[in-house]
Amino acid sequence: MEANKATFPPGIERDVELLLAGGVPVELVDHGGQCYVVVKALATPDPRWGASSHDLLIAVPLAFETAGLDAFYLREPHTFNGGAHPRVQGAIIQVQEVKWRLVSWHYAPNKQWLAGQDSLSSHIEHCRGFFLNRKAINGYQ
Amino acid sequence: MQGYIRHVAITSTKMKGWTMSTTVHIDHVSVRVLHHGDEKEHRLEFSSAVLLLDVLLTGAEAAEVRLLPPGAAPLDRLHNVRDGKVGPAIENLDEPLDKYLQHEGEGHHFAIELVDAFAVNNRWAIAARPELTPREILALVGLSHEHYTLYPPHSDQLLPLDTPTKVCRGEKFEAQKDGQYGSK
Repeated sequence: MEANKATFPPGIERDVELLLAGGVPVELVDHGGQCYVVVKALATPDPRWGASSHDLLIAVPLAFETAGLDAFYLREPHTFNGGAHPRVQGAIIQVQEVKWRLVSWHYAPNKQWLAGQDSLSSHIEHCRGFFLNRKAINGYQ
Repeated sequence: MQGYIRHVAITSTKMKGWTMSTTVHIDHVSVRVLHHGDEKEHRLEFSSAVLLLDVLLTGAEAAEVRLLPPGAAPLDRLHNVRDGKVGPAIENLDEPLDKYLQHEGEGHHFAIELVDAFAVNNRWAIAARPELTPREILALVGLSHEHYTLYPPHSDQLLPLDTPTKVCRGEKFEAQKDGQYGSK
């Protein structure tokens, strides 16, 4: 038996495999017992952002997928309109020798996580809504 | 035999350093793509052990068409053709070719139907009509319009729920649950 082998919620492993099979570059990471998904080079084609793609870090709860995904971390540094995005102000953590800043981006009150329908794929799309300025409550124009 | 593309599955079994050859029956079939170019028939050779799915995949490769969705489980359909008539889509593509030919007789001609497959995020479905409303599009991929909003790729302009939009083969949409900043 391999020692110290990270164990991930089975549901997230399945979601990651599905995305990898579809050519989406994602990676499961164990950091101090917390499971994360790293999303690499997510297309975020909005000219206000300094890059057309961004890396994301998504925390996965142990009880996934009954317990849903929420928010994400953005790989730093980032630029938006030449400076920092006014809504990217969360705590910074370091995972895999990279600094990630928490983005307080949540599901709208009437559109909460629905186990059995929502997935890592749909959460990533939800996160893209932040970059593409899609119909956000308390949004920034 | 010239003029055929040969696709042979397992032809030998290796055991303890010895290779035990097995006799493999070869089936000759033809595959064409419906409503595509001149519908040229492509003659293929298959070992009888291959699955009908292999006939679909190899036939598409021979005809140089891209099946959708990409990968091992296309929504595009395989039909048997007998006496020039295209039969219904074959439902069980996991059936071995030889078994299929046994119960279907001499129908060694196949046709590929390219369907109007579209994608929402990583979910695929077939459009029944050239235009569908976002409500219908979401329903076809098993997403609730009460929870998801539909967008063209990379766009911030949502597609109104009941306004029909064109859905072509290979069309892609993005469905998103609306977000909010700050505390929940």
